[in-house]
Amino acid sequence: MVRPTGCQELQRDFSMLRLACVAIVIAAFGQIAFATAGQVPTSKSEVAVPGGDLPGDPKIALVKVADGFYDPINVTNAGDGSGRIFVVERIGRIKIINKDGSVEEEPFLDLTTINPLGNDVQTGFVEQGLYAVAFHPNFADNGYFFVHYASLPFNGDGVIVRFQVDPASPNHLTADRTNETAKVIMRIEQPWYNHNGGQIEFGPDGYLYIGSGDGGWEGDPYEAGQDLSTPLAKMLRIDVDVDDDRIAYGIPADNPFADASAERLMVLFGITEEEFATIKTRSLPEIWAYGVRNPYEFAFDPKTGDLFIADVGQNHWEEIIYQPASSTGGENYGWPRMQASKCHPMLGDPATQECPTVGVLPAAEYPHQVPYPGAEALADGWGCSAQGFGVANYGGMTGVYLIGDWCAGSVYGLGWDGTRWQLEELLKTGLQFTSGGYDEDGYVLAVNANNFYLADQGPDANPPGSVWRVMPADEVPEGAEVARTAE
Amino acid sequence: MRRELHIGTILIGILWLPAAVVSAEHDSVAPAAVSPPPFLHSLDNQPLEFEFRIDQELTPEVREFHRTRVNPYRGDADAIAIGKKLYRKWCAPCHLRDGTGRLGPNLIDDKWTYPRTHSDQGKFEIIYAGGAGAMQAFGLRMDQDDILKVMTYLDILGSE
Repeated sequence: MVRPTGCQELQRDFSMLRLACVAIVIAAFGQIAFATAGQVPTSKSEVAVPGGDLPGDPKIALVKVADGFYDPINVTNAGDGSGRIFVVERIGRIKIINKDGSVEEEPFLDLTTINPLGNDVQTGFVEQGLYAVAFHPNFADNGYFFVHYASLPFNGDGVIVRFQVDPASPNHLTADRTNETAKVIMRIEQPWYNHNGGQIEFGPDGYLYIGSGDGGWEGDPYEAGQDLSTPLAKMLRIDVDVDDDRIAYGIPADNPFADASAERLMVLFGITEEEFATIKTRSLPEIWAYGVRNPYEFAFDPKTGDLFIADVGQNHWEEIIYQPASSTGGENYGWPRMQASKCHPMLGDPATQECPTVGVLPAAEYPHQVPYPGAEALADGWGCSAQGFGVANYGGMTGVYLIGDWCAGSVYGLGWDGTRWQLEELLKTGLQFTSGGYDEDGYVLAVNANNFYLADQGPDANPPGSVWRVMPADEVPEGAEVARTAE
Repeated sequence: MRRELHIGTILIGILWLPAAVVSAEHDSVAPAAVSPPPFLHSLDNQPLEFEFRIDQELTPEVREFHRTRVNPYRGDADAIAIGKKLYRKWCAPCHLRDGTGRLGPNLIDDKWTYPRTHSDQGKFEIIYAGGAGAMQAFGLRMDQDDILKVMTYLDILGSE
């Protein structure tokens, strides 16, 4: 269970102040944002599939930033002007790539050494490990950063923990410093070892967003996607800026279920059905959106604040969710009633299987090799696991969400052409993508590892992985190593 | 400690030895010194670099394969048995034990994602250096000699 929370009232005023700030920003840039903003599909025919054409016909290349990382599965920057890139290694370490491309030998964070009984990170299954790091928006001043990992002492439960950098040692936290500054923000019980979500990221509103998977196995045995009483299968949003460290976090006052579970006196008459519908006494106030399967990677468009979620699919379809910055939360993305725009479970050809649309449709979807039970295997244009990188606003791309597939090595771009979403395969590589992020210059980064399921030899034994920068093909620096791509 | 990828780039081109290799149907033709076709990467058809596991022993069979592009282990029962174990460890998760494919393509039909894969050379190229995405470079995990043994098991997989 999510740890108990409090201080909702304390947070309300602060949250309203933030809302006002966001409103000012939107007012200032609204015209630009509106010009490029996409729309959420309202019919299945509006959901983009591979084969689209992005506006501007962008040409990109993956330029190697650094390599030699153990099962790298996430990457980000600190936003402190240092130019450092932080690479998350599944085993429980975070490595630094300096601005000059050199890699610090000593880890920035090493969770394998903080517990005298062994690694604090559970890595027994390839989907477990240290998932992500997010730096506080004011990291340069307060030194706070947050990690999400599968905890070995807690039998694989996901824990989100805050640490604080020692200003005298900006590139390395000692084990003592790590333990001394640790503040556990949240623990999410994980019934099974897969579908743990992972990504954590601060939104443009300053709140921490958490991608939480459905708990695992397959088919969502808990029906977690549609269960508002569990943090599983959700996008969560919390406020980590609480003044009292005895309080784990606050609930943003405008979270869609912030007030729904509050105890109240029952009034039966004179209440509209709409008002009754807002009473959800078992809902969790941390929920921002629900009905996701495994939002392992998501990203905000740094220009517009739009949110894209690469929701990893089950047997047949991957889906990419678009949530505009204007969203007030509460979206139901359908899992497990639907997967992408298709019925779940799929019984056969979707053209002959009818099911109602549950909730909000994704912006795009792409098939696995067998798109439905009994289908002919596709020779191309398929994948198995969508790993979001980030949103590109350069190289002819405006608000293009870049996604890599773990199986197919494809890099897709998802963009709005003014009328509808377009999903275009931009590259076909030999890389197994695990995630992405941004550098401080706004370039999108991509990460590849070599840890595919049964070929996994362990987080410190698999062939090393790399970090790549997505660059316009005509801006690749001379002499740079570029990822091999299909002709 | 961060493990470094040892890159000792050895272009297969320097391994080419003069060879009078002709196909059976050309036996009546006057033999000529014909260099075998270069090893290429399956993804982009660029020259393949032998950069993995540079300390491995290049067995006589591997050296012969480099010269001829023909798997000398074909039909060798001992090699097939070893290849079967390796296949089930590294390949079956995606291609299934019977080779009909799941995340990876079917290996026992007559369709090939990369046309060259029908040949020993093509099979070696994609197993050693990888293809797209999850068809990773198994030359990182297996010696070349073991790759040849997997290949000879693939020859009989569909009829097993």
